[in-house]
Amino acid sequence: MSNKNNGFFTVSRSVFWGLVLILAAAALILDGVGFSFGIGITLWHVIGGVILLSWIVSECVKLRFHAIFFPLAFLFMLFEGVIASWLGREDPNMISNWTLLLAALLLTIGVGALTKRSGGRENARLGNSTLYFDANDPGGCVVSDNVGNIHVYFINKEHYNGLGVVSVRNSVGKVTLHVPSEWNVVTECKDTLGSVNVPEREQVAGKSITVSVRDSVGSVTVEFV
Amino acid sequence: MKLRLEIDDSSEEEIVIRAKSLTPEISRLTEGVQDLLERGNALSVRSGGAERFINANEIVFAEVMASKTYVHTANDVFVSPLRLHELELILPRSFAKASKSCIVNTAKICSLLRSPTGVGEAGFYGTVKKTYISRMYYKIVRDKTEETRSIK
Repeated sequence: MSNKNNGFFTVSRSVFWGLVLILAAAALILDGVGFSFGIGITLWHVIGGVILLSWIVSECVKLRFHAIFFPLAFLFMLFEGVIASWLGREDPNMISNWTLLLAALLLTIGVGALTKRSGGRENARLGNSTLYFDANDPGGCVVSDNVGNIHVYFINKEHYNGLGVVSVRNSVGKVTLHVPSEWNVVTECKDTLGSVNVPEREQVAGKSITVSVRDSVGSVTVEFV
Repeated sequence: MKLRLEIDDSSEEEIVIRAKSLTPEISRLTEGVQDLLERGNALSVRSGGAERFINANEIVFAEVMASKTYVHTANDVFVSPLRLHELELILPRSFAKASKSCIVNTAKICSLLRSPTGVGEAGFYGTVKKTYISRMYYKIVRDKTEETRSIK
């Protein structure tokens, strides 16, 4: 299940690209008449910098840190001449572009391998978001890399087979599980500094769901609905 | 899509949907209105592969996630075949937009909390469920909630 609540940035794509094209036209004209902001920075640097920074931030918001290295490499290539002059170097080409791209590729693969997630029903979000898991789906559900506030609901509870597992991994934020009151909750915690809060109540005659929390410092709260 | 209401006590009551062509959206809207007329305030939803009908007054909020519309009552959550803007047209006037992807039943709101960032949180009678209200819609929801209370 995926979440479309994108939190930070809500500027529409058409507005964003419209502004970029207008700035690009302005950059063409100003570049033609030799205008610059001084210290070697032209409007092209500004436009390219804004686009690349937007790319980096959007990947960070989605917690896809392995995807920031290529835009970082392009950002360095864009400002390489300016950085070289700041450092007092005569040669504006400090690092070969191929070396830079190869390093970005290796970092992308390496960091991606370190932060690889398992399974398909995973979500990593900032801000507030909601997830819906199908109780009829035998695959279980995973909530991972959460730094925000996630509410989890279960649909099709009538077809729940009683063998479900909700896995919470690498959570720094708050996860609230809205569990049907007909179910019992079994908790499993490992390597976690956070809290798992389940309201005290007597066991009910019904199916159970297992909540497995690992590598988390955030809180997991169960609310019976 | 515009919505126009004409009050004329001399004419027969009827609902007219004027469209350029019978698009899937218009078809769904027509079916939703038809269902509403045939079943009163009941809304058709899906649960466990079966079709169910719930009273619109039981709904606390509805939201869109991953292109699906989820309808929440106090103790359950269902999938609606209608899109959010189609639900807005057929649900009672007490419903208000809480964000671009969520509508709330202001008649069911028992608490409104606003954070320093401007984002609100609505609590509902008879359930622990809460939903968020974006900055843009907080005042609208608050005013609608007060209006709903004054009507009761």
